[in-house]
Amino acid sequence: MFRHITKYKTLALVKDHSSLFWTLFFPLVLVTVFHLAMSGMFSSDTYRFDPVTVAVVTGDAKQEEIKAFDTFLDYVGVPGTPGKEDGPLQADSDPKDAYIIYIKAEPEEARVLLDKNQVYAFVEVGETVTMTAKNILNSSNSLNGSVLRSLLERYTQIKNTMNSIENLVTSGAIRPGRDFEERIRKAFESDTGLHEEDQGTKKGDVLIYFFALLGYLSIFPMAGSISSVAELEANQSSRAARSWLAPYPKWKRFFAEITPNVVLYSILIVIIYYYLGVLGVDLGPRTGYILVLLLLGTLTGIFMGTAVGSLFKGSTGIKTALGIGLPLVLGFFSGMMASEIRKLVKNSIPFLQKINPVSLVAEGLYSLYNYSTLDRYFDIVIRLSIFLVIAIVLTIIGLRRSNYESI
Amino acid sequence: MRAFKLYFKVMRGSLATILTYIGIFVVIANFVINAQLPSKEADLKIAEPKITVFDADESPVSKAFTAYLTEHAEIVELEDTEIAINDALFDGETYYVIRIPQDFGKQMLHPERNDAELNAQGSIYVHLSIVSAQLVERYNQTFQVYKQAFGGSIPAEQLENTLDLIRTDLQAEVSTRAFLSGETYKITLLGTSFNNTFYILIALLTSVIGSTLIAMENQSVKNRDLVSGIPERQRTFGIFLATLLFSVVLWIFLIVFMYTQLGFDLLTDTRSLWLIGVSFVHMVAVLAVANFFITLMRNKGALNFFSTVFSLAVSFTSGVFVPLELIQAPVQKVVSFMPTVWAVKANNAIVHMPEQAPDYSFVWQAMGIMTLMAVAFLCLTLVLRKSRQRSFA
Repeated sequence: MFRHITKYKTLALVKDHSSLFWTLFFPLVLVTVFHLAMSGMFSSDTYRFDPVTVAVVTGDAKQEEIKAFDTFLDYVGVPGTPGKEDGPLQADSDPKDAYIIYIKAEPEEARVLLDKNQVYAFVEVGETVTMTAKNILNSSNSLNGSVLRSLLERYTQIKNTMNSIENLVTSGAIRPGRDFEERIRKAFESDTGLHEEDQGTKKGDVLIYFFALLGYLSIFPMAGSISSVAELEANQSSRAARSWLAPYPKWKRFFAEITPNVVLYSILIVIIYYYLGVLGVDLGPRTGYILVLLLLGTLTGIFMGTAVGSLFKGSTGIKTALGIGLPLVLGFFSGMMASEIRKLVKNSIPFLQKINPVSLVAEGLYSLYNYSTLDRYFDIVIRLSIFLVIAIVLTIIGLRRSNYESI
Repeated sequence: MRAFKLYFKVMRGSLATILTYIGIFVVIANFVINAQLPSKEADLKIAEPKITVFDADESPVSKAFTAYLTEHAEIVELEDTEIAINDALFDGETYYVIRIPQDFGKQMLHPERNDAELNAQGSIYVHLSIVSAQLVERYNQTFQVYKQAFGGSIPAEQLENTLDLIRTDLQAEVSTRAFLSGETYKITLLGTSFNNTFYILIALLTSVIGSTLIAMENQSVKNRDLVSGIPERQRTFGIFLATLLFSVVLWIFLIVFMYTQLGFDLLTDTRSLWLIGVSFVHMVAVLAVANFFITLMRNKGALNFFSTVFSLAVSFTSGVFVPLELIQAPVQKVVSFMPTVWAVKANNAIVHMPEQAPDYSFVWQAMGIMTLMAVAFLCLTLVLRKSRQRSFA
């Protein structure tokens, strides 16, 4: 009987061309669209620092202050001219290694430049240095303020150091030699012995979109398995009512119904993984571990669907909406639509991230990509397995001992 | 008006989908908006660097250096493991991890050297990595200046005093000011929220209007209506009017909800009204596009998949979720045949519009293009319906 139901369920799945087409077509189209939209982020330019555009207002500053600030500007930036048609400030020379592109302006002119977004900020030079910028919600531009403020602080600090050294010389604590000024100048220009390394974090930030997408696609079978439950409950479909007449245990019928789904979606997630490879998205060399995680995610998605299908006795409309909407919401919270959301969730509702199966799959894939050890991976596999067991238990609770007053 | 009334009767079957999607939107929008709302709008928002320091030297110089970093950045304590450090860098809990090796102090004081070995790991926030590196650089430079001022080496009895002087010198501050009012931030947030409503509108209009339309276009339902004496033209008009009414009500709900989160005072800002205008034209254009594809498809089984693929694909490629500048040019060209990308571009232009001498010509252009798209898709839908009617007759 088990084999019989499985065989006919498989045939029903395969012969429903429309559903089969969309089941296969939807993930592949989604992956393709995702790749088209995101592949631009793999470019090395994504994490490049572009010089900050600044209008410098000297106004009533003293001549020596203007001179000192000019020297500072030459050291940290290059001059620029406003772009055509009110475009942003363009460097007059190659801005390589420059932190800022600057233009000298009158106060009113500087305000207009800032208002038209041709410069990020304007800086007023005087006894104190003041920077004025717009409060904007844009990750890269808003961080320009940190760089600019840091540079301006450096200018003020150099002035402080020069004053302190002058005081030490005056007090006799320091006796300047012949090449004193030259040595001080060289010291101000000295490099640090700082060695920076990047251990894949930057590429991981782009790949997290794909990790979350794979997490979403592994939970996506939820919608399909919700309808499978409807074919088991005699009060939800005529086919289920008919099959109830057969003297065959419900749990066996359940597994016979669900097995073709498990096989189909497992094959699908493996195809998606290799399809991503064909598109050029490198998810790392640990293929075996990745596939285990994806298959575990798929199982979780299927049993989440059966749990929802068996526990909620509402209309098919609600179940369909949940089957489509819930994986999307979980995908959203795991950073599929914007990686910043994942961080917001982690900071605001950390518990949600710990139990969100899409996040778990995404983080598992990230850990395989980024960490040399497998500790985090196994931790996530355990958490996902617990989630799977809970989904199975909820399904059993929802399915067992149903009484139908009228079918 | 029979078709009009029947449309809403049929739509009741999609109530669960409508409520689920709206519920999802309300929860997500509430969470995202409140997480990003500025607390003090008058101040310029500047991200502070967050640094983790592992000091293996523990010398007076390294301790003074760490104390200096504490004064200029938020110091984040972390467990010294690969996973803890990478997680913190990836999640933005820290932006820079500095390792001070043994002999750091000796190297800094060495008369022949003007630097000391330091290892660091930056995060994806390249700007904040630069700021952190500048913190390190300016300490080293100031230290080297004092060393040179003392003739190449700092006398042991002067070390403590010099380290104090360095810290004092480096305590310079720059005053910062937000240009105009802090409302700019709120308007940008409003623009982003409007962009997010585009996804909900596309998803809901395709799925709800789709399922209702497909049910209405069921041949037996259609035959019943036509036999009862309702002309096809009147029936089509009734259906279109009903879809428009539903879309407008849904759109008004989304707009009102956003303003309840961000404050109705934003309505006094001209840019806010422009955002509403763009959103309305976009909604009408999306309605026309959705109507066309649903009329073309006519398969209820495929509708849920189509709705999910269509809404996600359009949103991802049109800049609703990912900034437009990150989307490749050929993709942008392809999606320029959809209204959403124009609405996103118009919204971006509005939120960055200069307050003095604003120029809304691009916004007009985008609204014009969306209107033309709406007209074109509406005409295509009418032609398709007409041809189907003929083939059936």
